[in-house]
Amino acid sequence: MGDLIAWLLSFFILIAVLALVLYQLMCFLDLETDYINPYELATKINSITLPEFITQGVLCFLHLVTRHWFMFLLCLPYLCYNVNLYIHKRHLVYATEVFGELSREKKQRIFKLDDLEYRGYGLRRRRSSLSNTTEQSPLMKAF
Amino acid sequence: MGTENPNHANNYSRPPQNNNSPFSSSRPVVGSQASAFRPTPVLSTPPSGPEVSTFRPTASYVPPTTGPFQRFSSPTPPPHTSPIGQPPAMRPPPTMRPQMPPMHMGSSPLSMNGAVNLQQSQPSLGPTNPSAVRAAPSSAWPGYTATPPAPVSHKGSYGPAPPQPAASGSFSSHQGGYGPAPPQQAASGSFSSHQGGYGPAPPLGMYVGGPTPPAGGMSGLVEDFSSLSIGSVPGSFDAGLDSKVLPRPLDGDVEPSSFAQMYPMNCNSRYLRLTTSAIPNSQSLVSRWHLPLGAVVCPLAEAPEGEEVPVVNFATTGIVRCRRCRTYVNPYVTFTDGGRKWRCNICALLNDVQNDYFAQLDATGRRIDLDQRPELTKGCVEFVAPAEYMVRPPMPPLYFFLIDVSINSVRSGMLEVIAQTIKSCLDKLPGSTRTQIGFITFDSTIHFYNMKSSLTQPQMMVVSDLDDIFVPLPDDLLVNLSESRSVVDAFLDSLPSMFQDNVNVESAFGPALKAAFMVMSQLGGKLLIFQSTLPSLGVGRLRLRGDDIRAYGTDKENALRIPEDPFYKQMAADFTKYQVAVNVYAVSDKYTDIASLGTLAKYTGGQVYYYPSFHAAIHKDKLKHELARDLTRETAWEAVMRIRCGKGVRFTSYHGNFMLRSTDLLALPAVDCDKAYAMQFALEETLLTTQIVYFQVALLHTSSCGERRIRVHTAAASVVADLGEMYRQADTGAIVSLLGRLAIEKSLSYKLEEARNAIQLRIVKALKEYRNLYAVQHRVGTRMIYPDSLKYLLLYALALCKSTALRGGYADSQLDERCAAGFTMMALPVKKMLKLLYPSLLRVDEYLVKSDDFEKLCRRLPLAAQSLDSRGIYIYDDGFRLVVWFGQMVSPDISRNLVGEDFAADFSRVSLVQRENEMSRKLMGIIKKLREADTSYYPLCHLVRQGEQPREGFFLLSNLVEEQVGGMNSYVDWILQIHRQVQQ
Repeated sequence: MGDLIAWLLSFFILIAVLALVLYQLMCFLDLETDYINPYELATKINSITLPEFITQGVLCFLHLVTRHWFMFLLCLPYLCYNVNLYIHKRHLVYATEVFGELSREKKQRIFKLDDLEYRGYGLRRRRSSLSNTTEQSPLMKAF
Repeated sequence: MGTENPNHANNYSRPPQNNNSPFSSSRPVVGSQASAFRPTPVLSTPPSGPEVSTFRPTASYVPPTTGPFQRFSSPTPPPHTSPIGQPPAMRPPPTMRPQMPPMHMGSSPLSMNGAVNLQQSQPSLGPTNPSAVRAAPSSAWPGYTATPPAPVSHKGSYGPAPPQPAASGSFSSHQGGYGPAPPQQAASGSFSSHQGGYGPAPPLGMYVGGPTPPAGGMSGLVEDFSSLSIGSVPGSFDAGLDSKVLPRPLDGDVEPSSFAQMYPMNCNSRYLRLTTSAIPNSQSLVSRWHLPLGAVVCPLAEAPEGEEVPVVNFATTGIVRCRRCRTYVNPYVTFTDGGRKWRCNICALLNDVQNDYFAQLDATGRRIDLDQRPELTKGCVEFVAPAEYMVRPPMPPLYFFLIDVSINSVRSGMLEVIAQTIKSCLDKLPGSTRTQIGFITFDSTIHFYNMKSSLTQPQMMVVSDLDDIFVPLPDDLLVNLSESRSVVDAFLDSLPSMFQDNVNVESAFGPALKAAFMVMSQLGGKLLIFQSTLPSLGVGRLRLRGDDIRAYGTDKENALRIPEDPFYKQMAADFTKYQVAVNVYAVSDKYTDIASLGTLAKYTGGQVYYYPSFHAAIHKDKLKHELARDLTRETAWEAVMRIRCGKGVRFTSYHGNFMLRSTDLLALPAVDCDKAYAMQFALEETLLTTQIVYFQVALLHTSSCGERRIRVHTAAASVVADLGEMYRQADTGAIVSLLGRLAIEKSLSYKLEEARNAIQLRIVKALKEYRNLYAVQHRVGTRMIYPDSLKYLLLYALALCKSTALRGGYADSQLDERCAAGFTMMALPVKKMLKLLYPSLLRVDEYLVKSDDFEKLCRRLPLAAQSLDSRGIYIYDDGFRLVVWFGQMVSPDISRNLVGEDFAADFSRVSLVQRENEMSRKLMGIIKKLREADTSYYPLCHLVRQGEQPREGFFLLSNLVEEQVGGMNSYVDWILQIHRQVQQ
C-alpha cells in the first residue's frame, strides 16, 4: 500500500510541475502574441518559478526516499539545472530584457516539458508493474 | 551592376550620330529626361497603380531612342528583368524587345510607379534607375570607363571616371564587341546573373588593350569592384601592399546617393538608413549576405534650416491609416477609383477614402490637392494625433534632478558646476510655462525640497530611514517651474554652499532612486542623476569589482560589464513603465560601476555621460555644455516607436537604448535628436514576390508644447535577386553602426575577444562571398576585391575592434570607460559613430603661419603615425575630445604664441585660451569650428607634446587606428590577414 501512496504522490507532484511549466510556456507564448506585456509576464513567471523548483525538488526527494533509483536519476539532471540557475541568479526573468531571451526561455521550458513527459511515461510503467503486484486493488483501477 | 545598366541604356538609346562623344551627348538627354518625369513621380497616384501617368511623360521621348537601343541591348537583357532570376541571355530577343525600352526609359525615380507591365517584369527597376547615375555623371560607367590608373594599385571601381578622350574609342570598340558577348554570358550562370546589371557584359578580352590604361600591377580589366593588389607570391605578402593606397574615409561619411535619387520621396537618410538598399528576394540570398541586414533609425534627427518636418493636422478626418496593417498614409499609397479609394503600399489593402479627405484625381491620376498634402509628397511628416492616441492628457516636460552631494561631488566642483548650469538653462527648458521641475539630493540620507511657490526659500526635509523610503510631502516636491521660479533660483544659488562642508562619503543611491521614482511616477519625465561615488548604502549598493585583473580572459570577464544587482534592471523596467527616462552623469576618479548605473539609462532610452577623474577646473566646460544640451534640446516625451515593413519581411531584433514593450514596440520615455536605434530584419517567406519593400517608422510622442504627435518616416527599397546588387547598394555607415551594436551586445555575454572575432568573421565571410561572385570571370588573382560601396568597411571594422568599448583586454581601457563607451555607442547616430571610429586628424601649423584658406590647407590625414611630422601641430578630433599635438620640433615662437609663456611646461596643466595674437585666434577659431560642427557633445581640448608620455600615448597614439596598438593589427596587417582568410 505504501508503494501505491508513494506512486500516487509522485504522480500528482509530477502533474503539478508539469502544469507549472506549461503555464510558464503559455505565458511566453502570450507575450509573443502580445496578449500580455513584459511586466505582467515577469511578475507571473517570477512568482511561480520558485514553487516549480521546490515542487520538482520534493519530487526528486520522494523518489529518493522511496528508493526508486531509476526515477531519481531521471530527476537529477533537471534538479541540478534548476539549482544551477538559482545559484547564478538566472532563474528570474526581467521585463527589460525578456524579449531578447524569449526564444531561449521558451526552449528551456519546452525541454523541461519533454523531460517531464518522459518521466510521466516512466511513472506509468511503474504503475503497470505496481498493478501487477498489488493484485488489482480497486483504487488502482481508477487510473 | 544594376546601377550601370541604365547608363548603358542611355548610351545606346541616344541617337547614333552622337557616337563619338557618348558622354557629352548623353547628358542633354539626361536633362530632358529628368525634367520630363521628375515632377510626376512625386505626385503620381493614379488608379490601379500610378504607372500610367508617370510613364507618359517619359514615353514622349522614348520613340527616337528605341531603335538603337533595341539593337544593342536585346542580346543581353539584364537578368534582373525576370524576378525569378532566369538567365536572361537565354531569352530570345523578340520577347525582350517590347520590354526593354520602357525599362530603361521608365526606370525613372518612380520606378515603383512604372508601367504596369513593367512592374511585373522588372523587379529591380529601382536600382537600375538611371537618375541615380545621371545626377552624378562621373560616377558610373563601368562598361566604358577606363578607370584612370590609380596611383599604384588601388582602384575605385566606378569611382571618379571622368569621360576621357579614350572613352569614345572604347565605346565604339565595345559596341562592336557587343554582339559576341551573350554567348559568353550564357556560358556561366553566375556570371551572367551578375553581369545582367551591367548590360554590356563585354567579353573581358575586349577591354584589354582598349582604352583602359593598365594600372600599376593590375590587369586592364574594367571591373565593377575595387581591388587592392597584394603581392603575388604567397609568403611575400608584406611587400605587396602599399599603405598609401589603402582606402580611407577622409571625407567623412559618404552616404550612397543612388538610393535617395531612386526614390526621391523617401525620407532623408538622416532619419533612416538601410544597411543595403537592395532587399534580397530570397532566403538563400539572405544567407549569402553575411553582413547585418537591417536599418538604423534616428527618428528625431536635427533637420537643417529649411528642411523642417511638416506638421499635418487631420483635425476632422482623423489620421488616415490602413485598416488592416495600420500603416499611415504616405507618398507611396495609390489612389484609385476616381479618388474614392486608396491602396496601402505595405499590405495592398484597398481602403476607402473618407469624405473629408476626398479629392478628385486629375487626368494623370494624381490627386488635385497634392501640393497641399505634404503627407502625400514627403517621406517624412508629423501628424497631430487626436485623443484616441492618448491614454492620459499629454504630460508636461518634466525634469527631475537626483544629485549626489557627498564629499566627492563637492570636492571635485561638480555640485557648483551643475547648480550654475541648471540655473542658466531654466529659461531655455522646453515647454515654456508647463515645465515641471524637482530636486532630491542625497549622501547617506535623502534630502527632499519643498519648492511651493508661496515660499521664498526652499524647505529641506531629510529622510534617513533607507530601508523604508517614504515621500515626506505628497506634492510640492515637483513644481511648476514658472510658478516657483524664485524658489528654484534660490535653491540653486544656495545648493553649493549648503553642502560645501559636507564630509559624508556614503552614497544612498538606491533608496534615493526609489524616492525619485515615487515622486515622478505620477507624470513621468526625465530624471538626471549626478553620481560621484559608488552606491554604498541601502538597496542597490554595489561593490568594487572592476579591479579584478584575473577575471579578464576568463568566462567571468563579461560579468563585469553587466549590472551586478538585479535591482537596477528592475528599477529600469519600472521607470520605463511610468515614462521616466534616466540620464546618468557619472563623475568620479574611482570605480563607480557604470555597468550597473548605465543599465538605468539603457532601458529607459537615456544616455550615460561619464567624466573620468572629473575636476571642475578642467572638465567644467564639457559638463556644462553637455548638461545644457541635455536640458534644452528638443525632446519628445512618453514616446513609443514601431517600424512597419511590407509583407514577407519582419523585424527580428532591435539594438539601442530603449525597452521593448512588445515584440515590435519600442518604449522610449524620452527621445531626442542624438539617439539612434538599430534593427535587423529577416525574410519571413522563402521568396519575396513584391518588387519593392516599404519601411515605415512611426514615433508616437508628446512634443514639448504638449501636443500628441506621430512622426512618420517612409522609405521604399527595391527587391533584387542578385547578390552583386546588394553589395553595390550597401551602406557602410549603417553596416558599421549595426555591427558595432551587435558586437557591444555580444561583449556583454561573451569575452571581448569573441566579440571582435565575430566582427572579423562576418567581414571575412562577406568578402569571400563577394570574391566568389567575381573570381571566376575576372582574373582576380591575389588581389583583394571588395565592392566599392564597402571600401571603408575594413577600416571601420578595424576601428571598431580598437574602439574603447571593444579594444584589448584589462589594461587597455578602464572598465568604467569601456562600459560608458559601450552605452554611448549603442545610442549614437551613424555619422557620429563613424566620426568616433575614424576621427579626423588635421595638420594646422601651416594654416596658423600662413594666412590662407582653412579648407585648402587643413585636410584630413590618415590616422597613422607617419602622418605626424615632428615639425607640425595637429588636431585630432573624434567628436568627443580634441587633442592638439605639438611636434617636438615646432618652433618655440609658435608654441609661445599659442600657449603663452609656459610652452615648455607640463602640458597637462596648461589650457588653451585665446591670446592676443593672430595665431592663437586662428587656432581657437579652428577649435570653435570643430566644436560647432556637431553640438551633441562637447569635445574637450587636450594639449599633448610629442614624446610626453603617458599622455601622448593615452590621448593620441592609442587612438591611431591604423597603427599597431595594444596587440591589435595595423591597417596593412589587418587587410593582409583578412585577405588570407578570404582566400582560404
